[in-house]
Amino acid sequence: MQLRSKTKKQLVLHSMMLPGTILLIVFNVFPMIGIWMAFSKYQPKYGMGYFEALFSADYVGFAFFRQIFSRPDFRQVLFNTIYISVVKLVLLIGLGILLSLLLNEIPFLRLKKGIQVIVFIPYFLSWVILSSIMIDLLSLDGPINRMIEAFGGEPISFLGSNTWFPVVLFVSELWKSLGYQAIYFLAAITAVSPGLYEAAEIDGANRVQQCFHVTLPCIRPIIILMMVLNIGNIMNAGFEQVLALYNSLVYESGDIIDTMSYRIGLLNASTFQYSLGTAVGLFKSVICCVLFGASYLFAAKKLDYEVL
Amino acid sequence: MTAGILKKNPNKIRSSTSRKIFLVVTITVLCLWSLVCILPFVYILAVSLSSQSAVSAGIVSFWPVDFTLNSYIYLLRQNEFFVAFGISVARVFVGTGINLLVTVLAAYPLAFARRTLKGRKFYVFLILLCMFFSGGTVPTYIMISRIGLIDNFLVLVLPGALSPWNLILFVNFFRNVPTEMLEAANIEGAGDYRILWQIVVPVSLPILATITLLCMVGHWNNWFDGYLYMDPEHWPLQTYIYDVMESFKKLQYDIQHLDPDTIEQLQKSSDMTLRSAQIFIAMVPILCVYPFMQRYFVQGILLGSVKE
Repeated sequence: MQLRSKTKKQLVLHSMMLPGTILLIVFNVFPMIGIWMAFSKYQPKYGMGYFEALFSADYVGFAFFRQIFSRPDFRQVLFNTIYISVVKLVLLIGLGILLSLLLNEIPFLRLKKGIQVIVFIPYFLSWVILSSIMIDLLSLDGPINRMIEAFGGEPISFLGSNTWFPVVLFVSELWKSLGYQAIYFLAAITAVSPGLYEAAEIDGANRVQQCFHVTLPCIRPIIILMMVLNIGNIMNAGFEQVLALYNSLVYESGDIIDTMSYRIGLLNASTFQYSLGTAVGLFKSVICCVLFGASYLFAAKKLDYEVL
Repeated sequence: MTAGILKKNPNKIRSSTSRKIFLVVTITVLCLWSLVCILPFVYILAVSLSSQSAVSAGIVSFWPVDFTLNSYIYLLRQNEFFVAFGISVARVFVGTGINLLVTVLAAYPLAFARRTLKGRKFYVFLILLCMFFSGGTVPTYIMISRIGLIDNFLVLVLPGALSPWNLILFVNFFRNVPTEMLEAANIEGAGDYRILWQIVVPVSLPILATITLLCMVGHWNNWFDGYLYMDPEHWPLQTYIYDVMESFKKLQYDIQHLDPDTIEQLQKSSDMTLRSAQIFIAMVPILCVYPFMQRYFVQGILLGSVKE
């Protein structure tokens, strides 16, 4: 009797896990098995199931990887990816801390709240919306260029020039995420015990000194944690953002691994495009996975971060 | 320790003028950034309410010139736009419902049956695997096309239904629910499903609200899956806007590769006032739920990441 109720309890618990497990297996694990495409000459065949077509393809080893590494543009794309994501991370964390410190200085609650509300809005809008607006603002006859002309300058094709395109990426990223970043840090700042500020004030520290000797040391663990956890993101330079903003004129400065994989694998109809595209994607996923794993292990061991 | 550093450079008399200047600078900087964040949206709204001739003359800034509702009236008559809007609304509600159901169900055993759930290691491994590794765009696309989900509404709501990150938020929140309540219910003879719906869910309203809003915004904003998997007549709104934006981009940066007929067609579909009206309509639902989001989201940040 006891035994039966225990089995029943297990069944109930597993039935709760079932829908999620099925979804994860079908939509996440099956594509992982599909990575086999990168090592074989995959071609979709009619009348064959997913796995049948997958495993009936000829094994070619690392041939597609060699083909990709020998592409002239691959090195550039790899550089772009890392460059764009690192600059974004540095800008977001640096300016995010600055913005949160400034917000923390405002004694007027209404104003503080109002600014928070405004700078947080773009975070909730999609890259399609934000990019559409960016493209309008920056087009050759758009308001920014009209302003430049009014001051006697030459109009700049911001989204068509390789010098300016990364800048556009950085600025639009700041527009979207800086508010979020600042509010994240602000949450940490408000958790700092007021007693520390009082003590510092008694010792004669002014606001700037308080900031450097109380606030910053107190939120340092969170800043470090944030940086460590973001190391795994170094291969993610913002697929949706780049895809929405770029065009064929700026592949040189704006193409990243994700967009390359997407273009090769799904947009260009050529032989073994799927295998090639998968290989590019896999190259990224493996690096990502290693970096993520390492950074989370580090965070768990050294910074007491708990994942699950 | 901090006090020791401070004593070396004491700042005995804090002049109130320098403090005032500091405040003025702080507030100016913050207000400028807020303006940068918000003015692009004001511009888009102003353009959407201006006449076409005023827009192409370049005299619209932050206030409508020749006020007219023409672009909105035109959009009201456009069938495609309405269909796209409807599909977006449908995916927001259906998708969020599925997300919540699947995630809450899976979080319960992971949170409350830590020791008793058999095969817990398997589930945790599966979740971590999906968190840190992915098959990439190409295999996912092939898999989805092979199981016949192309141009099927389900493809918009099923693949991302169980997000490991949201699951972790739920599990962490559930673990703080006092276990005495559950044990009492258990002794009364309530089954796990009943305990979940009648005790755990009602006391988890803050996290439910946070994740509901996150999922809704996520579904509303998602455009790439629509573009990848759906036929143009079933595109969600954001995908539709992405397509309009792509034609505008082609006109701006790729015009030499286009034939005159295409150019004319693109010019017609990417009229500036019309596009602005579309962008603004796509923003409205977000702005409507934004006040709630602001509050719950900050809570969510605190729940999820800033741990003492």
